[in-house]
Amino acid sequence: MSDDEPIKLRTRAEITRRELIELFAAGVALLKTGCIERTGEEIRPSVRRAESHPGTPRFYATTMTVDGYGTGLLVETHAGRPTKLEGNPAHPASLGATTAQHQAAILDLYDPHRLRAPEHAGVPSSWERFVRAIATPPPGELWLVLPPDGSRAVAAMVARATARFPQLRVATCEPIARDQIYRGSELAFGARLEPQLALDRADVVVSLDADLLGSMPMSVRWSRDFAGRRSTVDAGGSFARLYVAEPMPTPTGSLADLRLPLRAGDIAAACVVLADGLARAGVASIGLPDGLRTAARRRIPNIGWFERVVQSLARAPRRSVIAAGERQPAAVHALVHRLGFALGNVGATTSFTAVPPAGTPLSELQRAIDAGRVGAVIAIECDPTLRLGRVPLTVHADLRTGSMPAAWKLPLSHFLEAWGDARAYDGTASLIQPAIRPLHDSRSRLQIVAMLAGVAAYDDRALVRDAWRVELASDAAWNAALAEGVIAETAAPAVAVAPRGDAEIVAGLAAAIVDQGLEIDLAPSPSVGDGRFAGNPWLQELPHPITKQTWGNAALLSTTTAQLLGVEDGDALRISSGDAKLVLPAIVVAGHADEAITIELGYGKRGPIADVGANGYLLGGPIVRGAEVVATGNRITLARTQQEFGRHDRETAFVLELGDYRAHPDQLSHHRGAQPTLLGEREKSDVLQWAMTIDTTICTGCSSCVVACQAENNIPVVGFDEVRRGREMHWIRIDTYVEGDAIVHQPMLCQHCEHAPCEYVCPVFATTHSPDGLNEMTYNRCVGTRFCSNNCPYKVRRFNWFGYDRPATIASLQHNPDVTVRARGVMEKCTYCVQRIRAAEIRSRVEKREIAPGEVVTACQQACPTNAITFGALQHDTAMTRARKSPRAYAALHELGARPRTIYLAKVRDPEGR
Amino acid sequence: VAAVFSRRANTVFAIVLVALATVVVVAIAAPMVMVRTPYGTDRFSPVTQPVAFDHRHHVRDDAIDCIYCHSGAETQASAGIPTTELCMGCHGQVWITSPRLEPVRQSWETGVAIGWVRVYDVPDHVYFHHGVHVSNGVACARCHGDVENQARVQRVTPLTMKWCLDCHRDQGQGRAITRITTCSACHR
Repeated sequence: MSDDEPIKLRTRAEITRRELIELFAAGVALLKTGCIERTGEEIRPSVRRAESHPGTPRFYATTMTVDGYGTGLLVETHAGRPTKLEGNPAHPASLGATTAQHQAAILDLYDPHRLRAPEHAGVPSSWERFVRAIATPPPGELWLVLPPDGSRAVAAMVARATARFPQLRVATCEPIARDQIYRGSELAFGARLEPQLALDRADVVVSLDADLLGSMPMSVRWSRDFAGRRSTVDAGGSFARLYVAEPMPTPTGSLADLRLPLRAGDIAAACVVLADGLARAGVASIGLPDGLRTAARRRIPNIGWFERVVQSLARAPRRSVIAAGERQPAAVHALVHRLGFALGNVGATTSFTAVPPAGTPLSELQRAIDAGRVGAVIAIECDPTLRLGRVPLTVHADLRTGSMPAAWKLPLSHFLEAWGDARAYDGTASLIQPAIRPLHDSRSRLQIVAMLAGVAAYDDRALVRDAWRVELASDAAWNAALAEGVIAETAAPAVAVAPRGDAEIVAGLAAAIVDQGLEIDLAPSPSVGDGRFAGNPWLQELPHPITKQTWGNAALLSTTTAQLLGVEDGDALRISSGDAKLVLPAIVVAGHADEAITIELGYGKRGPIADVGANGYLLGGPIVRGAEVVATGNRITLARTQQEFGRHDRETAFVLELGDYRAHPDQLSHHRGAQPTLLGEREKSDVLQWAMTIDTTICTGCSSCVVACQAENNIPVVGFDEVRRGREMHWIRIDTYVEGDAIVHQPMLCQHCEHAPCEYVCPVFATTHSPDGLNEMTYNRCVGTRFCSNNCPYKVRRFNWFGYDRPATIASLQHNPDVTVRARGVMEKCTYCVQRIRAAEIRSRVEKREIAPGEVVTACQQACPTNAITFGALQHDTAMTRARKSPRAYAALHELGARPRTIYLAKVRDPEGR
Repeated sequence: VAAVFSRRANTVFAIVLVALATVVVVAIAAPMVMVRTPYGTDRFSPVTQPVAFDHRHHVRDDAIDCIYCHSGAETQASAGIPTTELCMGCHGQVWITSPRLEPVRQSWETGVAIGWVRVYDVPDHVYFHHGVHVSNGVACARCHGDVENQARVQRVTPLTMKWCLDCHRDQGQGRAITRITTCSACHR
């Protein structure tokens, strides 16, 4: 790591005497000009009437495709320059919220490491030459490698390309395949089906290694639906129960009422035990042979969890959801589908929609290459791991150079530069429209496939228009679909299902229940996903929701397993399986399943940013048995933003049990309200007073808010070494506490204290209080004493140790023009998105009206999938102000008397419930 | 022993001390005075534009309202510089052969924007919004002076923070921190 910095920063003051004198002279000159901008700057208006007005952002609806599923987004553009992505409230997979990856995708557009022009054999080339090269492909099979995609326009072009080249084959590159789910539905119901879950209607949710609220394609929507059944605890709403069995705690696991740490390989056994329990309780009867049941019982240590799950499911007929994770074998999915069917959930909380036939896997392409049948491989927007051998024509089109050793390297357009269409998880179609012209000489996936199809004009808009000619016949319909971001009434219809025979399911389960000692469970990274975001510095620096690790992955294991291996945090482990050998630092995770190690995928890839951590794909997987794990005796430095997860009896981040809370609601009354003070009351003027409420009951720790804040507020990336020194710049830090088997996420940001300790110690009045209750930071006054940070009990202030955004690069184009880019030596922190507050104030005053309740939305609140963060004025009657009257409300470190404006709602869970 | 210092030494020493003190005071005070002078604030120096546009003619003779060209002034942050299209709206009909309008026609034909020279500008850390000022009764002339009488437009107000605050404090509550005198009203 030391000689290969993850990102290049000038971290030393390397100034010569001469430079010092020059700087001094420049300083005197600056003193003279002071805060005056002189005339003479050139301004160039548009030649023709423009859609946008300088200084006023415009929003366009578009769609981002991840793992083949579209999520509707709104692109904020300033003078034609996209600066931020937000969820599209009209899109069913978003409802206005996003994941961290959606938020970070804007940075990929301006990535300085993007490919800029076509290259052939290391020499600059052109698209025309590429078109000529593929017009007469070498003899043999012509393979097109594409990521999963619901795009109708791309499918149409693939069909035309197949007509042009009969030897064309299409392989699907899907590092973390969802195929087991569909094969499971084939076993259970005889068709490839996508399970559609209505978590808002489920009283009991059982997750068997399924990260429903974190990494699954519909998790933003599911988080909103599920949270709606939890946040109403004070209003007397019914409290949905969540049972989770998983190896490594996930965002879903952190919300569980009862969480069972269980190896991914034992989920099959768990499934059988659950089915057995339900059969015994007479709830749902599925014929499983005795041998299978005994084998499963032997694998499961804690039968109590299953008894509770069975009781709960029995009490909620037709109102439960059972789901299994992507890495589970087909038989597990089949049994889960069948249990759901037997519980009457199908048609009530679960429905099924059809999915297209399976794509050809990469392994088939590899076999064809090895057999010497392949003439050309064209991989677009994916980085397949292939031994290409002597394939005559190899093409790789992507944003950045990947690990595929292709002769042709083609720059791919970012989705903000391209036309296209996508399908959401529920089938809803939406259009992808560009928000900016391609920054480089790039083409989109659709355009490249069109080249292959021999379509002369690469007018991708026309291609998309043609694909939707029937649904969007008129210009009005087309424009409406573009403006709305959704093509109305395109959600996939539910398919009726009927169970098939059990023999194959039983055989599959029997094969899946094995006992093989220590196992390695591979999972997508919550930050960089399957690796497609590994080149994104925001996501590399995003602390892991549970371990708080940045810039890399680790071998995650339980306390017991760590003791057996004789390792602690940071000790290097060598994990070898077959030919593959990985060295990873150990991180001990409370709540991890014993006899298992979780390795998150997507790290250890090629590239200037992505080359951190170790590549878990080398092990195969997703569940690796019989791997050899040895402590090497070396230490590996970790960059973590939190090391200690215990509360040590300090009173913060409270966990209440539902029954106890209902019986004694006022347990937290001494953690809020007025206190004696010598400081005098702050004058409450008639202007709106801003405040925030954060509900820890529904915070999953997904960290979407952290990246949203980074995008909105021009927060720099500092790199591995600086994070290691505790100098990360994120304005939101999600503090995670583990209390028994409960995990609490308490997002910590500037609390905007009414008696702010930072304000009293600033010698230059750089941090002051505004009449509307904000703790303001005036960067130009700050001289960098850092007294404020030392006196802040919440430790939310961040100091610019270096000029992180100097010199400006192409990535600076992402900056929000409404927020100052801070210079070196200046303190900064959460402003409650003051730029959005002031914009709303100005809007209301120009329009001669009052600010409406809920009009000001902070970036973190907007991105939050569960609505855990709410913001607004204390004078308004909103969900935010009503929540502050809840008995669960508490002020963090209330005893200090700082009177924070940010109020938390204690976490309520129901481990005792039925 | 001969005296080390001559008789004049005391006087010279006093003069040197006073001179040094003066240099220090002047070195501090002079830039402070300087930035407040019209030179320091760049006032009263007419700016030459790429097109010989005369506000006197358009505003006084033709009675065209400011908003016709600077259309954002009432509602937007930036008042805006008119597009070439707006110029050509009239000058596609009148004065179509005037050599003074050659740069405008050229811009229209080539699609390259006219490179106007900015006259009024605030530093990047100041977030000024025209709309909120105009809609709260601040007339254009309050900051921009009598543009209708300027052949070439010049800056007439200092645009210093004190000058801004003088007006913001004048809205009723003096030096008390109010909604419009708090830091984040202008700096974000």
